[in-house]
Amino acid sequence: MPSKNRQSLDDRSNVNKLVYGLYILCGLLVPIQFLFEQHPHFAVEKFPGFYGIFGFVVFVAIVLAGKLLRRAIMREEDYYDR
Amino acid sequence: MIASLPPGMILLIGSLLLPLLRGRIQAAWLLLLPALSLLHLVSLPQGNTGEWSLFSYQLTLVRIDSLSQIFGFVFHLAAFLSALYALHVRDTTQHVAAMIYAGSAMGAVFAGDLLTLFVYWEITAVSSVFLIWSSRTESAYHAGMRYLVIQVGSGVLLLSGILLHFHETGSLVFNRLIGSDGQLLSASPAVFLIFLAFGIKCAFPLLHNWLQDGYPQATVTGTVFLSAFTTKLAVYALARGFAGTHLLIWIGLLMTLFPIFFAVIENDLRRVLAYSLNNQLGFMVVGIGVGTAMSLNGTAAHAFAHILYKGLLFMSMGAVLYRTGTIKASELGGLYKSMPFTTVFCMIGAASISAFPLFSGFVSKSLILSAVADNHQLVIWLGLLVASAGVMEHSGIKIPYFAFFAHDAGIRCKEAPWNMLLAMGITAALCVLIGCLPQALLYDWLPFIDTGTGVQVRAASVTPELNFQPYTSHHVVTQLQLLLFATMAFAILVRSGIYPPEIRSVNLDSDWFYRRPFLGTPNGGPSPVERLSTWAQTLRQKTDTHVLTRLRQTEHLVRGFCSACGRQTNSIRAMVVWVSVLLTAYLLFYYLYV
Repeated sequence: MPSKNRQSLDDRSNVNKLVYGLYILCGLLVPIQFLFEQHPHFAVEKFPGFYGIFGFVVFVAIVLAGKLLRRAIMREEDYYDR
Repeated sequence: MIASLPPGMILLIGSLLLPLLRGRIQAAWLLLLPALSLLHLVSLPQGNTGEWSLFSYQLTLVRIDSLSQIFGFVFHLAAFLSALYALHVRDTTQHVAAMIYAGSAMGAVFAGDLLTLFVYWEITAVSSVFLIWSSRTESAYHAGMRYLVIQVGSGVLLLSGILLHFHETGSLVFNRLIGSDGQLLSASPAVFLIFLAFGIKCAFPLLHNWLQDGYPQATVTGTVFLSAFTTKLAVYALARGFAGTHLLIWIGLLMTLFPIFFAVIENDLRRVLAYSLNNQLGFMVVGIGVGTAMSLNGTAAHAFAHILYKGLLFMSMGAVLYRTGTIKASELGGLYKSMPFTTVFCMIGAASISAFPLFSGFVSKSLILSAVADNHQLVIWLGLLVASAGVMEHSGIKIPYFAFFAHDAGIRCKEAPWNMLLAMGITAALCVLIGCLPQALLYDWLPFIDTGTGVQVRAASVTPELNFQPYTSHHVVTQLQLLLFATMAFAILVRSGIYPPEIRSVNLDSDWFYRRPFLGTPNGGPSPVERLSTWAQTLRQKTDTHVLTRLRQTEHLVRGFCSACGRQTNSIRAMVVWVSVLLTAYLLFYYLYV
C-alpha cells in the first residue's frame, strides 16, 4: 500500500521501496506462521503458506477473469442513452 | 405522549418541520432528530408495546428485543453520521426524504407484526427514491423509476405473502417463518412470497441490479443514506424470519462471488462500491443460512460494522465526486495531494472492509467464517475465502488506488468541507475502535444465544455468552498472509501491465434484460419495443380489414339468401323483432322445462 507522504509517490524510487518492502513482508509472513501454535479447521490449512498462496492465486485469477468478462459485457459508455 | 411513540416516529414527524426551517436552524434540526430519536429509543422498555387490533388483525407496533435493538442502534448512528455528512446541502427535499427514509427503516426494524413491517417497508421504498431523483438529471430520473418499480414490487409480493400467511395461520406476528427443517421447498407459498420480497430488497443474485443501477445515480449525500438502510433492513428481516434456511447459504455464497468480477472492470467508483455492498451482503446471508448462534451473531455484527465502513467508503467517494465533479476511475488519480484527510479516511474504510486486523471488518467477518468452519463446510469456507480476496481487490485496493494514487490525473481541488471531514473522521474512528475493542463494543451486544434446544433471540436479562477471540496469533498471521499476498499480486499485475486499465465504459448486468428492449439502434432506428408495437398495430389493421371484408361477404350471402326466399331484410326493426321473439321463446322454454 502506498504511503501518503506528500508528493513522494511521483518519484519512482519511492514507489519501488514500498513495493519491495511489501515483498519482504510477505516473505517474512510465511515462516512466522510456524512460530505460533496453529489450530486449523481443515487439512488444507496445514499446507505451508496456504493463505498466502491462496490469496495470490485467487487475486490473479479474479483479475484475469475480469479481463475475460470485459470482452463479453463491456459496451460504449452511452450504450443505454442512445 | 412522546414516550408512547414508536421508534423512528420522531424522525418521521420531525422531518415535516424541515420545510418550515431555513439555513443553520434547519441543519441543527437535522442533526437533532436522530439524536432525540436515539434518546427516546434508550428510554423505551423491552418487550412489546403499542398493541391494538384493526378489524380482525392483531398489530404490535413496537417490539424491542436484543435483535431489533442492535439494528435500531446502528440505524440511528448511521442516520446521525449521514445527516452530519449532508449538513452543507441546501435542498429541503433531500433532507425530508432522508429523514423519512431513516425513520421508516427504524420503524420497520421494531415492527412486531408483518402488516406494520409492510407499511414501513413501502415508506422506505417511496421516500428513498427521492434521494435518487434529487440528482435532477434525466438518467437519475429513469434509474429512480426502475428502482421504484422494483422496490414497490417487493412490497406487493410482501403484502400478498402476508395476507396468504394470515389466511393460513390466523396470525400476523413476525417471528421465524421458515419451518424447523430449514427447507424452503416444504414451506407454504405464503412464506415463499415473503422470502422473495425480502430477497429483492436484499439484492439476491438476479434480483440485485436495482442496487448497482440506482445507488450510483443518487446525490453525493443520498448514496450514503441509501447504503445504510434498505439492504440491512432486509438482512434484519431475513435473520428474524429465515434463520437456518439452508438455501440461503448457497444464495449468500453466490452473492459474495459474482459481484467481485464486475467490480474489477467497473469504471464508476460508486458503482464499484455498490457491487462491493452486494458482496458484503452475501457474507451476512451465508451467516443467516448457517443458522447457528455464532453465525447469526456474525451476521448481526457484520451488519453493524458494515453500515459504518461502507458508509465511510461512500462518504469518501462522495467527497471526491463533490470536489472534482467526476467519480470515474479513468479520470481520477493522484488526489492524495489535494485531499489528504479524505485519503486517510478512505483507506481506513478500505482496511475495515478488507478485514485487516485492528479494523472492524476483521472482528465481524471472522465470526461468520469461523461458524462455517465449525460446521466443516469446506466448499462454502473456500468460497468465502475467495470472496475475501475479491473484497481486497475492489474495495481494499481499487477504490483508494485509482481515486487517490495511480497516475496523477492533474486534478487540483480543495479538501472536502468540514462537515464531511467530521462525519468521515467519526466513522473512521468507530471502525478502528470496534476493531480494537470488539468485546465491549460489539460482542457484548450480540442478540443470539444457543439454549440447547435451539437458537433464540436473547432476552435483555440474559448476558451474551459469545466465546470468541479474533486476535489469536494464528488468525492474525494467516489473515495478513491472505491480504498482503493479494496486495503483492496487485503490485506485480500493475507493474507488468497485465492489470486491466480503467476504461470509460458501461458493463452489462442483469438490468440489460429489462433495459435493452427499450433501446433504439445506434443509427436512430426504432427499439424492439417500438417495433413490436408497430407490428401489433399493423396486425390489428390487417385483421380489421380482413374481418370487415368477411362480414360484407356474409351480409351479401344473407341478402342473397333472403331475397331468394322472397323477403326484404334491410330493416333493423325487423331484426330486433325477430331477436326479441327468439329471446322470449328461450325465456319461456327455460321457465317451463328447466
